[in-house]
Amino acid sequence: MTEIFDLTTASRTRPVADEALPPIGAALPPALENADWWTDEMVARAGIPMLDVPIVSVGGGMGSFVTVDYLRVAGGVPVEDIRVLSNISHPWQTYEYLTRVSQLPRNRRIRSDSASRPDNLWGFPSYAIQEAFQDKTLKPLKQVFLEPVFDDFYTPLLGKVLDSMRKEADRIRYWDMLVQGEVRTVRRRVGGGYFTVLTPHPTKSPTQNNRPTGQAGPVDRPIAYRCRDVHIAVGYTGLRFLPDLQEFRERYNDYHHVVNGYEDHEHMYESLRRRPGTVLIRGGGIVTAAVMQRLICDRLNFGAQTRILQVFRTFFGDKHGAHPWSKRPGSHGFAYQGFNYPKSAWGGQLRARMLRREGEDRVRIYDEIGGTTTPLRQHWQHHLSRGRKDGWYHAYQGTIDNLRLDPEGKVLATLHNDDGDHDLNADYVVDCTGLDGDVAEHRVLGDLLKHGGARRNPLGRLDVEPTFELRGSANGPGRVYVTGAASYGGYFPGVDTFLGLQISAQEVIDHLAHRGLCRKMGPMRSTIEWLKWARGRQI
Amino acid sequence: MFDHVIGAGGVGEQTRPRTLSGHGVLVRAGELVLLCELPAGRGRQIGALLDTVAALAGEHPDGAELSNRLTSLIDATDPADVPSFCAYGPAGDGLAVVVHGDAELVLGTDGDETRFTGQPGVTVVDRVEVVPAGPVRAVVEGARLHVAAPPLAEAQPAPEAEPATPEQVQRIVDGADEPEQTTPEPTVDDSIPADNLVLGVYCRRGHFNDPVMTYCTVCGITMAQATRHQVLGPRPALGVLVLDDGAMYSLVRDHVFGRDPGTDPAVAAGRAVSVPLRDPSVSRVHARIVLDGWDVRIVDNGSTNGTFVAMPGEPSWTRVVPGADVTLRPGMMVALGRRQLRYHTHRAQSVDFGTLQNRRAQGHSAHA
Amino acid sequence: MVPTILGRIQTRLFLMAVVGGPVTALITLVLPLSGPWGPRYQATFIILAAVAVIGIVWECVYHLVMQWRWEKDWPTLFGLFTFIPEGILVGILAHQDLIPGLPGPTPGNAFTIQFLVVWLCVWLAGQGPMRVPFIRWRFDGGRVV
Repeated sequence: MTEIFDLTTASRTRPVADEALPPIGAALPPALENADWWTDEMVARAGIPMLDVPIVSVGGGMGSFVTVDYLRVAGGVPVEDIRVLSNISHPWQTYEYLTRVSQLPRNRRIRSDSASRPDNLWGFPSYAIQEAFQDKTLKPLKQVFLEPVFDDFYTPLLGKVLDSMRKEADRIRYWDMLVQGEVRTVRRRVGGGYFTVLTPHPTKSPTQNNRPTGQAGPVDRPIAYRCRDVHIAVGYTGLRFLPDLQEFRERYNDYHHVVNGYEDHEHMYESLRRRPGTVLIRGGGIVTAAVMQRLICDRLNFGAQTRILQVFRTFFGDKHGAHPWSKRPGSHGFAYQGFNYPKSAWGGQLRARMLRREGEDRVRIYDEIGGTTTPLRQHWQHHLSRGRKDGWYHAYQGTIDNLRLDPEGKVLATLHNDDGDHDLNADYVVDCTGLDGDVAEHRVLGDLLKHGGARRNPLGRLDVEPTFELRGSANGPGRVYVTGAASYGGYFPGVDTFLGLQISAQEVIDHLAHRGLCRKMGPMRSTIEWLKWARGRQI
Repeated sequence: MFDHVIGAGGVGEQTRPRTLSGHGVLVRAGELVLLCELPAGRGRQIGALLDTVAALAGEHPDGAELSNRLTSLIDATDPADVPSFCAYGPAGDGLAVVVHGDAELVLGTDGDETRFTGQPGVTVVDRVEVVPAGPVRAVVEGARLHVAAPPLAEAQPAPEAEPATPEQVQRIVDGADEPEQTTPEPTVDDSIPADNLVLGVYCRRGHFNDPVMTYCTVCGITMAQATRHQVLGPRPALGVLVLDDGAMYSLVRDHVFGRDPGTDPAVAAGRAVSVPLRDPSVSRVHARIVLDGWDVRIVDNGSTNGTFVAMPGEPSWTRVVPGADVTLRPGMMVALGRRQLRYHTHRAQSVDFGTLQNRRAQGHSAHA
Repeated sequence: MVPTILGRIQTRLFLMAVVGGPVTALITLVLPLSGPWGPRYQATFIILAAVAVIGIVWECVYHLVMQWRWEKDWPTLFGLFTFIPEGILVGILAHQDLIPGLPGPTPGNAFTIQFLVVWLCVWLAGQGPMRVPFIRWRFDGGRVV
C-alpha cells in the first residue's frame, strides 16, 4: 500500500497511466484519502508510522514562527511538545524572497511599524529604540516621535528584522522543533485530535535530527503526527499572476517582457539602465511603489531614461471614504496609508468594531478599509511630480488586457477606461497585483474544506472564531487553529502582517490556556520572560 | 532506456535535434514511437503521454500494451484535453497503432499505403497484419514526420538499463516538406523551439516547470504542494542574457558570441542564435551559451582574450577554461574581451536558487 | 498603542495610579512647598487625582477628535502635547482653589514641576514599558481589564 506515497522519488519507470493523470494530492491510499475520520488502525494498516506530539504547527513560515514563539515564551510549552512541519528551512525564507524580488534588499526599510517585532512578544524595545541604541543616533526616535503627522512613519530595516528573528529562533530552540517536509493532509482522528501527514524531505544535512527513531524504511516515507492540536499558517497559495500574464507566457514562451513584481526581474532594470525604454506598471500598492522607486533611483544614479506608465484600476484623485469626517488621503491615483490596514486594525477601534460584526456587515467594513494603498513617502513622491512635469511619468485609470508582442518585440496592451479603448506600447509590463490567497487551491486547506469540516468565511477564506479556532473542525479535546492569510475575512482584519500574526498567536495561546493546556502568562511571568528575552537567555 | 537518436528521413541529423517551424514532439523509446502535438497549456497531458511511453519501454516494449495504456489515459480524462498524437509499436509480427485527434499515420506497404486518422474518435488497431515495408509517415498538426525504416525490420536491442536523459529524447519536426504550412502566429513558431525535452514537474494547474521552483513560473501558484513526480516536457525559456548595450536575448536555444559567429556550425545549422559583437578584443567565435537541461552554461571557444565570469560583489573575475564550461548563476556577469553580458532568470525564486542548482547538478552526475 | 475610548480611560487611570502615584510620592519631597508633610502630600495627590478624573472628560474629547482621523490612531506626539490644554485647565483650577480637597491654592511653580514630571513619566511608560507586564494591553486598545 505504502508505495503509493512514493511520488517524491518516483522513478520514471513508474507508469503514469496507472493513475491516469492523478489529481495532485491523491497519493494517500484510497481508504485514507476518502475518509473524513481516521482510526489508529487505518493509519497503521497503511504502514504509516505514527508519532505523538501534542501540538504541530503546519507551515513553518512567519506565522508558525510567531505562534511557536508565543507557545514557548507565553505558554511555557516545552520543545518536545511542539513540532513545526515546514517545507522551508527557516521561517523568513519566503518572506525574504518576496521582499528581495520586490526591490527590498536587506538594507532597505520594510513597511512595518516600529513596535511590530516578530521576535519579541512585547514589541519593546521597539526597532526604533534598538536602532537608536545600536547606531548611537536619535534620528529613529525623532521620527517615531514626529510620525505620521510631521514625518513619514518610521519603519525598520529588513536586515535587522531578519537578524533579530534568527536570534529569537535560536533562543526558543526553534530548530529542534522544525521538521522539513511536505504536509499532505490534516485529518480528524477517531477518539479525538488529528493526524497530520508529512512526507519528510530527503535528509539535507547530517544535523537534521528530527527523524522519528526506529522508523523503518527510507526517510522520505510519510509520517503521521498524532496530535491534539494543529496550528496552520501556510500563508498565501502563491503569487497572483494575472490571466493576461499567463496567457502571454504560454503563447510566446516569453518570461521577460511581462513580469510579476514578486519574481526576479532584474533583467528589466539592467537593460533599462543601458537603453531607454518604457515600463507599464499595473497596480498601486507597495510593490508598485518599490518598483517605481527602483526605476527612479536608476534614473538618478545611472541616468536611465525610462518612461513609466502606470495603470490604476481604481484611480484616487483625492481623499476618499464613506464618512465625510473620516477620509483616506489620496492623490494622483494613489491611496495613501502608512501600513496595509488602518492602524486601528491592530488593537484600536477598528479591531473592536470588527469583533462585533458578522457576515455582510463585516464584508462592508472590509470593503471600506480595503483597496491597495501605499505609504506616502516623501522621496519618490517628489520625483514622481517631477516626472509628471518632465513627461516621463504618466498615470492612467482603467484596466489593461490583450497583451501581445508587436513585430518590433515591444508589448502592446489594450487599455480600457471611460474614454474607450486604446493601445499602450511598452518594453516591459510589470504586474504588481499581489498574492493569491485562494484557500481551495492549497492542498492542506482545500482538504480541510473537503474532509475536515471547515467552512469558508464571507470573503472566501477559512472561517475562524475570534480565537482563531477553525469552525467546524473541533474534534474531542482537539482543535485546529488557522492564522495568517488563510484567516483573512474573520473578526480580525490584519492577519497577514507581523503584528497581526502576533495578535492571532496571542488569541490562540489564550484559548489554549483557557482550555487548560498551557500556562496563562500574567504580569509577573510576563516581566520575567521579558527579562529573559532582554538577556538573550535560551529557553 | 530510450533508444539512440531517431533516424528521421529527410532530416539526417543524428546527434542533435533540429529546431524547425512545426510544433510537435517525437519520442522514440526502444521500438515504441510517439508523435504528439505541443499545444500550450497541455503540458501535464503531454508529460503523461511521454511518461507512458518511457515507462513501457523500460519494462515491456509491446505495441498492444502501449495502445492499451494510451487509450486508458485518454479515457481517464476529457479526450478533448489530450493533445493529438499517434503512436505505434511492435505487436506480434505486426504493428499496434493508436491515433488520436487531429493526427494521421500512414504506413507504407509494398507500393501501397494504409492510413489511420484519429479524427472521428480514437483509432486503435491492435495489430496491423502487414509489416510496413515503406517508410512510416505520421502527421500531427501539420508537423510531418517520416520514419525511415519500419521498426520490425530494424529491431535493435535497447541499450542496457542506462537512465534516460532528456538529450536522448529528440524532438524533430520536419518543416522542410510541409506544403500546407500556413502562417498561424508568426511569433509562436519562432519562440517555441524547445530543442530538448527536460525533466520537470507540473504545477496544479498543469504548467510545466523547473523542479526546483517555489512558484509556478506561468501562473504563480505554489509548487510546494505539487507532487515532485518528474516527467519529460518541452523546455520553456530559461531566462535572458542582457548585453552591455541593453540588448536582450531570450534563452530558448543556444547562443554563439563572437566577431563573426555566423561561421560557427551550430549557427549555420540553425541550432544556435548568433550574436555578433563588433569589438577587436572579441574572437571570431568567442564563446557559446549552451542550454543543458535547466542549466545555462558558458563555454569558451578557445578565444584569444578569454572568457571570464563573476558574481556581483566578487572581487575578481574567474577565467572559463577553454573547452570546459561554467554553469551560470542568476545575476552572473560574463566578460568576453571588453564586452560584457549578464544572465538573469525569472526562475531565481529563492534566495538559495544557486544551491538548488548545485544540488541538481550533483544529482545529475550521480546518475551519469 | 492605538486606543479605544474604554482603553483610553483605563490606561489613564491605571498609569496615573501606578506610575503617577509613586512619582508624586517621590517628587513631593523636593517640591517648593511649605508646611507640614501631611498637607503637602494631600495637595500633590489631590492634584494627581484631579488630572486623572478631569482626564476622563479629556479622553472623551480626544476620542471625538480621533474620529476625524482615517486610521483612528493617536500619534505619539498628540499623547505628549495634550499636556498643554490639560495642564492649563488643572493649573487654573488649582490656582483658584476650585479643586475640592485642596488644603489651599497651589503655588504655580510647584504645580508646574509636579504636573510636567508626572505627565512625562506616564507618557514614557505608555510608550513601551507598559507592554512588558501587560502583553495584551496594546492589542486591546489600551484596556487593562
